[in-house]
Amino acid sequence: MGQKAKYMKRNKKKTILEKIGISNNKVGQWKTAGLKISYPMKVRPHFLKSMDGFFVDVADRFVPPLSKREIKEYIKNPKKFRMALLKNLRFYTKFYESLFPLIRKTEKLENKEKTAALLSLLYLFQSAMDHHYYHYDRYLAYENYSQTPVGYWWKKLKILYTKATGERVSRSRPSKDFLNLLSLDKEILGIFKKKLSKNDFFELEKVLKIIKMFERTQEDESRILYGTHLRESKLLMTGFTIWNNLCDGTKTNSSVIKKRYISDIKEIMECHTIIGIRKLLHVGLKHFDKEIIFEFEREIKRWL
Amino acid sequence: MPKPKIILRGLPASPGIVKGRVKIISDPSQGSKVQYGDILVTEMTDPRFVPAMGKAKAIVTNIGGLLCHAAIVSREMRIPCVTATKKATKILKDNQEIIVDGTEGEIYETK
Repeated sequence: MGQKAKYMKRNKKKTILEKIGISNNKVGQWKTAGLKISYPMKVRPHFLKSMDGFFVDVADRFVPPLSKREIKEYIKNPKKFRMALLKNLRFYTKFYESLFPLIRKTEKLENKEKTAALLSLLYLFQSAMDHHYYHYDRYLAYENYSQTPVGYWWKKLKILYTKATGERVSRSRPSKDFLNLLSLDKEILGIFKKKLSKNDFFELEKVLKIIKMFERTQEDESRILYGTHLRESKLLMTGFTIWNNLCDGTKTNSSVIKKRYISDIKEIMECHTIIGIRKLLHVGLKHFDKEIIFEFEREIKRWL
Repeated sequence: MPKPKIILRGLPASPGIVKGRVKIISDPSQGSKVQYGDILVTEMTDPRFVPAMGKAKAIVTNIGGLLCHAAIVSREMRIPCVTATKKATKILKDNQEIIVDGTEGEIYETK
């Protein structure tokens, strides 16, 4: 067997990302470090809905929920929740940053292989986001669920607010006093101090401190993901570049999609990028050519 | 005097009422469009918007809740904020003069 034939044979056995340098050893290192990837992407049966309408469909429906044990622990110790969130976020940042240089390497693959590689990168990017980012981040927005870490403290705040004012806090129209209380307005705090018992006011201060910590966590989180200056965010750059390359490749070579689904994929690719990515990975995968999906699934299996 | 017409409703996220000119930005790199005293209108904010938010008199976003970035920063900056309007970036126009009521979560036209 000639050198070239030997190379072809060896290369044929490789998975699609192995061909651009991701060895089994590398995959093993990520898994040992704690990387979680799951397949297929599933809608959770009893998902919690945030007030961020847009994120209900692209994130809330898919987020791997905190376990009962985690919820119990994080309600008792909100600081632990903050630490877990930031630790996972830094881990996720490292992971997607490692995916970025691979996008360029897909250029050397032929059309179908390139599509399979880009689909694999996109899937890893999104699934890791679900497990290491959304898994915690979405809970920062669940103020209306008293069984969640943030919701538990929000409920306490609302109860104390009602105790002091005799008014309930509206979900769609929180009062000026409630908003001022969230801003730690001194005048309002002075009024509440007079209206509440010493114990209740002490509790109010504690609750506000915890809520501020959750807010600070959200700001820290955005800072890690997007940075504080007007420079491009690596997170968006990675996700958007994979997506754009995939869309361009599909437009110029429609043979990567099963004929009867070309218009479905076109429709998905015309969506807002974040919505498009989720739709493609959730329902659009089966529309791709059989060989592409075979290579894609072979790749993803390595990461499970 | 006729009552100003409500053109948009959303979630009150930071109290106060102000009048100003709309500046719609879809990307933080357009932040220089916002001048001191303008009303920043966008889909949603993140820390890259902070320089522009610092110049704005009020913030209006399409999506978000009481715990979104725009709401948190506005309360810290003590400027009115209305989130979850769903379509502010579509309904409002650049340089349009509006009133933002962050206490009621309402946006009015001025004439």
